[in-house]
Amino acid sequence: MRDAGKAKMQILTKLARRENIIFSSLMLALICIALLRGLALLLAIIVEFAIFSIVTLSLNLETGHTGIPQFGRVLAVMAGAFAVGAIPGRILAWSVGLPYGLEYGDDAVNYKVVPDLTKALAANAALSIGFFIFCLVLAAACGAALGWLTSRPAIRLREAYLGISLLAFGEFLMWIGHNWEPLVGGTTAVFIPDPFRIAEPYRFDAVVLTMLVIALLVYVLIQRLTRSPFGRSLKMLRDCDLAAGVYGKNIIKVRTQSLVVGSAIAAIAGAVYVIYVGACTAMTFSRVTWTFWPWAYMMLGGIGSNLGVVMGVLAFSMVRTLIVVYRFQIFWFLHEWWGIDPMWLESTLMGLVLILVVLFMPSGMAPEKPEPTLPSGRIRETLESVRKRLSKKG
Amino acid sequence: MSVYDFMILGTNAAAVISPIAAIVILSALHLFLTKAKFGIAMRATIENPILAGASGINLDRVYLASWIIGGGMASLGGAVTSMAMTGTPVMGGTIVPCMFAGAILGGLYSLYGGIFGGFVVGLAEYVGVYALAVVVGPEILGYRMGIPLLIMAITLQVFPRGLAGIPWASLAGRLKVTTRGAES
Repeated sequence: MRDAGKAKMQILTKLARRENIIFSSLMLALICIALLRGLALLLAIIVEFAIFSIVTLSLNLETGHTGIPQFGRVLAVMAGAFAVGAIPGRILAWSVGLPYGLEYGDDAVNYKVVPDLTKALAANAALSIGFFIFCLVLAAACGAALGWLTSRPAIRLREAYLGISLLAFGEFLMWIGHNWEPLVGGTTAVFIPDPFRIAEPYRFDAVVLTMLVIALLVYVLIQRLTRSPFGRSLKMLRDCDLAAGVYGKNIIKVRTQSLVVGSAIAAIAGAVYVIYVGACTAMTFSRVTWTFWPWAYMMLGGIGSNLGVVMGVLAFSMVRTLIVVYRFQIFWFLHEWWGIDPMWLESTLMGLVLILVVLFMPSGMAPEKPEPTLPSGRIRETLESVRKRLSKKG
Repeated sequence: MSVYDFMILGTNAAAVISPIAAIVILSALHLFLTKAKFGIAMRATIENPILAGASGINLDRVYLASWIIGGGMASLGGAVTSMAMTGTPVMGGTIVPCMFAGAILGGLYSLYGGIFGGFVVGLAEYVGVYALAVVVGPEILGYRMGIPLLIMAITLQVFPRGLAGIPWASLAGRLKVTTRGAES
């Protein structure tokens, strides 16, 4: 009788953990939004959630698990976006016989070429799917290559030096994209042939669903990666790189691997984003949106915890989308009473939440848990056998 | 010339005030960090926080003071910048990578490294881009940001702790470059 009560209490305390409560309230809020305000708003939230959860998970792999201060996340995202903006459209234009050289980036040529390419894609479902997959693979390859390239000069540096070097590289690539017109149109946008035109009346739903599936796949991949021996060696490096070196881990090599994998994943997010938007401009990829916001999401969710990161992104993207949609209906009084423009409210909110998180919840929504090296069943069996042996002796 | 600028002795005030302010503040900071008790406590805290705390330094107060001093200096810099050129709310965001580059080029744990790094970066950005524009052509002007970043990347390869991390004292003795702080 007492045992049953104890078990019940155990289950209750397990359910009442912070991450479970926050997760279920987030889900409840999502359902409420869908019921009260319709599916379109829910889809808008999912768009943001999917893109930023990919970016933030990759950031978490590098910062939370490996301990690299990755302040240049925008670099890898931009690599993917620029690759998709520059290369697949050119290949398609070349195969159809339209201008594909340096003039493809010129806005006066580009806006005539790309609609024809989109038409060609819309007529052929297999070509569209192939185009989309090619874009993703290309983006991942470019991101990995750029991650490796930036890791070469930077990886030997210490914390702050490494972080600022990565930030500088990201900034530099944005200026190249902004100034060199053939890449992605310079100050103007390059349009991207739309592979989702085959699902025409439901294009938005198809894009959102695809993005969500990709985000889920990335989550599963990163979860498996961080639980593997590789993931544990990353954590060892983060906690004490000297000890990791003593135990025979090649510090530089493991850090480079982490940077390359993380950059490839972030590049996929960039590719998906530009395909969803349908255009690619260099100026979109500012370090605030693609480096500092993922940092804020990661800090809210819990550094080093994959589930926490996803929850942080979900909470933030929900609040941000609601603010963006309803800022003039709800926050009109800011302008009326104090003359504050609610246009920039979400940026203000981001700063406020960061400060509050650091003050009151430094380990985030779902704090990182120690990874067991064995399945939990086997750990329990071993504990049980040890306890039996001890009680026999006693 | 910005609206907030005025004339001193026939030149723009910003051109006169900024070097004077820089020299005065840096001398004061140098004196503070080497002579004052609190300044020495500050340096000790950065060097080894645990040991400093054990020897009776209030770490929280030191961090608070350093934030206040740093913030005040940065905002003074912003004020002078908006005298010299058009001040906008996003002004800081556009020049912050170059400032970072200057800071880590000089070395983060040294006051004088910051001065030297900032000087190198600023000079390289404007003189370098001018020289390149003369040689290559005006289309290089858009890549102005790249020059300080490139210099920073190359310097950090050779001296991973910045220019201040070079052991100048032992260098003068034996004229041999030893690189400190690199992990390998």
